[in-house]
Amino acid sequence: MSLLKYIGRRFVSAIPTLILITFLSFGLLYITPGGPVEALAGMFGTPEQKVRIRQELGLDDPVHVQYLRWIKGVFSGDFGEMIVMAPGTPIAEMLRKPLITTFWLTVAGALVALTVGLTIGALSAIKPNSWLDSLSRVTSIATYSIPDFWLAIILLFVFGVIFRYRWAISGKIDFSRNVVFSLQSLILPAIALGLAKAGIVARITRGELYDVQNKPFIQFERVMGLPNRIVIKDMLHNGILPIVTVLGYTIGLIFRGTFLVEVVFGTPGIGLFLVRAAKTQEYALLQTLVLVIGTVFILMNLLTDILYGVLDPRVRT
Amino acid sequence: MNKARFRILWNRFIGDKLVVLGGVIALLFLVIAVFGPQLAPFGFAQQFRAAAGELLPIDVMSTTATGERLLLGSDSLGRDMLSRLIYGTRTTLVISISSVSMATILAIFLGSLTGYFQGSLFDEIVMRLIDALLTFPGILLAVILVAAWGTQGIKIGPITTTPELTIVFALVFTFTPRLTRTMRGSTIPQAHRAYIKAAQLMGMPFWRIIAFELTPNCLTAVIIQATTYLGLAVFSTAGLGFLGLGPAEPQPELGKILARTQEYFLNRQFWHIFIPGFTISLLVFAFSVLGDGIRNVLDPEFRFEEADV
Amino acid sequence: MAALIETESVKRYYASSSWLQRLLLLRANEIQAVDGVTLRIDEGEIVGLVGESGCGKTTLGWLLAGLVQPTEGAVRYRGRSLASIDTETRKKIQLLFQYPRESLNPRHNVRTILSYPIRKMGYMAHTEITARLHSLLDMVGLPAHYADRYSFQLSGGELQRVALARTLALEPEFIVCDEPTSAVDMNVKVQILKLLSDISREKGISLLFISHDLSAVRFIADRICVMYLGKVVEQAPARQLFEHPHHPYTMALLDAIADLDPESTRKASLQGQPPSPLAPPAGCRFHPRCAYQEQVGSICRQRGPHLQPLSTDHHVRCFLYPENGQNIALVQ
Repeated sequence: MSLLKYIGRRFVSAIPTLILITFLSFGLLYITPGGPVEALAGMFGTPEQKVRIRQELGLDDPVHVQYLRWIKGVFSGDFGEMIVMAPGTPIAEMLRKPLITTFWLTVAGALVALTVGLTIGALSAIKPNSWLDSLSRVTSIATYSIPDFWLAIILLFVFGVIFRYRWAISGKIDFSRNVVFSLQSLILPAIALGLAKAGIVARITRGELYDVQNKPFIQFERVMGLPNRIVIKDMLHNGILPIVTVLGYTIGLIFRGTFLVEVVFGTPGIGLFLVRAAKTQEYALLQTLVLVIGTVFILMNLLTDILYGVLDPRVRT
Repeated sequence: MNKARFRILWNRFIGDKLVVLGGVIALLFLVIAVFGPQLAPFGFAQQFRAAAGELLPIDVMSTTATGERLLLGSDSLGRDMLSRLIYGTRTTLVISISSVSMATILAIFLGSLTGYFQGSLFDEIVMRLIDALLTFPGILLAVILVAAWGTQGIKIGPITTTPELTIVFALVFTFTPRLTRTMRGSTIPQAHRAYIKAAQLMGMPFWRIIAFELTPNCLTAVIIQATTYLGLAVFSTAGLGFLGLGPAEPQPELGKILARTQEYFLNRQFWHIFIPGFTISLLVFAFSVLGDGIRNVLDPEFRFEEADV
Repeated sequence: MAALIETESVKRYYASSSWLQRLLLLRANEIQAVDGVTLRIDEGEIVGLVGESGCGKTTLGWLLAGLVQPTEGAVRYRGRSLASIDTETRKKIQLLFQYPRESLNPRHNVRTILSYPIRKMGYMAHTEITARLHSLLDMVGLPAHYADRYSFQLSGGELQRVALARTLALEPEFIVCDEPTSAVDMNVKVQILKLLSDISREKGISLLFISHDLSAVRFIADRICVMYLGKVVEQAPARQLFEHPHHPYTMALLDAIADLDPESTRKASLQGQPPSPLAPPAGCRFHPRCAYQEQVGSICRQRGPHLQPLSTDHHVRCFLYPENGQNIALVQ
């Protein structure tokens, strides 16, 4: 199968999932206690607002008409308005900054996880059953068990409370405005996220590379007495597909982790936004977040799949 | 299972020291959860005052104004930390275990049906739905569900939901798709085997084939996965509690206890910050190591599969 | 004698395309597993079905057992279409699988395996069931204490006996035996064949005995059908087929057994592998491997021959024999 056809097919296969995500997002309002009006108006909605919402939603129309109207709004960028947190502000406007913050947080966290994880993983694959390998096994199990939000608390306590470092604080990340502060804001969250997942990354890397290094040509290089540096390079070269798996997997893990870590550091990303929306029952926002996060995950899966197809023609069947 | 086979498996299990350690810790936690009310020195809502007479986080190993010695100190409302941890473990474990077992039962049901009727419209619909649900990270789905239902109780017919029940429901919702996929995967090859065709030829009704012939032969994989999910369930329950979406006050829960840690920053009470998180870690560690151990015993070929959520 | 079960130009194609391709009417590759077979089995008759693996004999067996539905044509049991038959009657048709270990649930012991069909036949009381269980085990030559054994505790021959007992419990009138002896040792094979043949004669059960093992078929069958790539190429009473084979393919098959005999001078040996059923050759499906092809000429490559009678009970599908049924003397 040609690459283009493969990519096209992947895209087509993502469509039903995307449609189901919209159902889920739309349906969210209807599974709430008190129904959509109560949900949208929230605890603080005035009776006038409730009447307006009822009219806007057209609740007297059949469900599919309501759904189509909602979808039409989504496509034109209209996600509704905030009611509790910032009354009257369009949601679309509120989403941009948190999304950027979370994006950078994910990137930085993944960078830490991959640097630490790949290094330990590759080293312990080269010398299986060495002290380094044992250490990597223990740390990977340990980090798997340590909640990233707890690690975040400890880091904040040690660096922020005991040592009182200025860079330990975290805030809005916007590289177009304040580069230094943005970088500062990334340090601790990235370490908390990255270290908590580095163990898993190391474990997967070790497993995948262990297979590669048992292939005859690597054994041959060993026998030839080539330096470890070159052997590792060749192993990584041949283990590129497994590494892509690790990459996609790590980014997913880190993205999930950002939600809780943002709450600890008070970093105004999507996670903190989501938790606030959940606590204040800001349903229109929750609805939008389901849609946005679902779409992000679909795109991420799609990207991994396509990368797979590019790197390994065998996958395209 | 005959005796010899059992002994081989048991020896393989015992052979791994880490797994035995995990098993012992898990057992210990179970004992704590079951006998919590007997073990806890105080009630989880009982408040103590420090010598100064005010409600303050009391330090580890300190005495209260009334002379009780609190082994792990108290939280910022003067409630005994040890007792709250014991009761909290109980809450977390009850939520985790019941949600994983409910999800497993549901998955066995759905997975065997979709696997048996592979390629049917029913299968197609269920699998598409599962694909969509799998797109979401588990904890996010739980946050959204808990948010939608609220942490206050809601009346659904005759039952009034409690926050605990909402979390259980959310976790069942998260785990079921993954477990169903596994169950379906192990059902499909079995469903094509000759003993199933023989049962069909005898005129056995499909529900009987699934319940008595098919399902008992397909359970290994799903049970292994369910065990590893116990650790994940603890993680998610604590995470939700940490986000403030857990059980209502004064009911303790491990994540909720951990969420109060920032209140101890001011006095730099390290143990108050360390202990709740450590308890969660230990619990997750015990379950995941135990799950890995059971998997290694039953399926030595296994190496790595996306350990999701 | 009345036909018990018969097929009328029954076809079964397997589509190797997905539901999406079918939806978009992209008719992809089809495997013509069974392509227009007319077969009739009388009451109490044992019919042998032979052919190489992949020729569609198992599919034909499954069609007769109702395990798969025909793409075209019909299977009739006592004159009624199998598609519309009631479950009570359907139970009268049973199948004995090729691999007995596969066909018995590894979790159940023999008692559990046999109890279901016994209860299905109306035995309800505990003592009744046990009595019937023991009589069934006795019928297939197994001691009564085998009732508490599991399939992993039994040998291949014993497993096939248990499987046979399970089918017999439903008091069938027709059993499809799908290579029941291919997975067992030589001496066990003879025992199983004898058991099948005895039970068939004793209870008047018809059998379709599917096998690629000609000696087994010769031992048990009254009448033999030879299949090649989804089509029946020759059909005759067992003795006649072995003594006077007419189709080049049958001759080649028989030759394969006779190969050990140094005196054998027959020229019809089989060359190569059967072609893929995904792309069967044009004309006569056997022509690329046929030893007589040059003699008959280009017609073999142009169209497929019909199955035509040589005598009342001997049919063959080959251009060596002209339409009027006259037998051209074979080249010696």
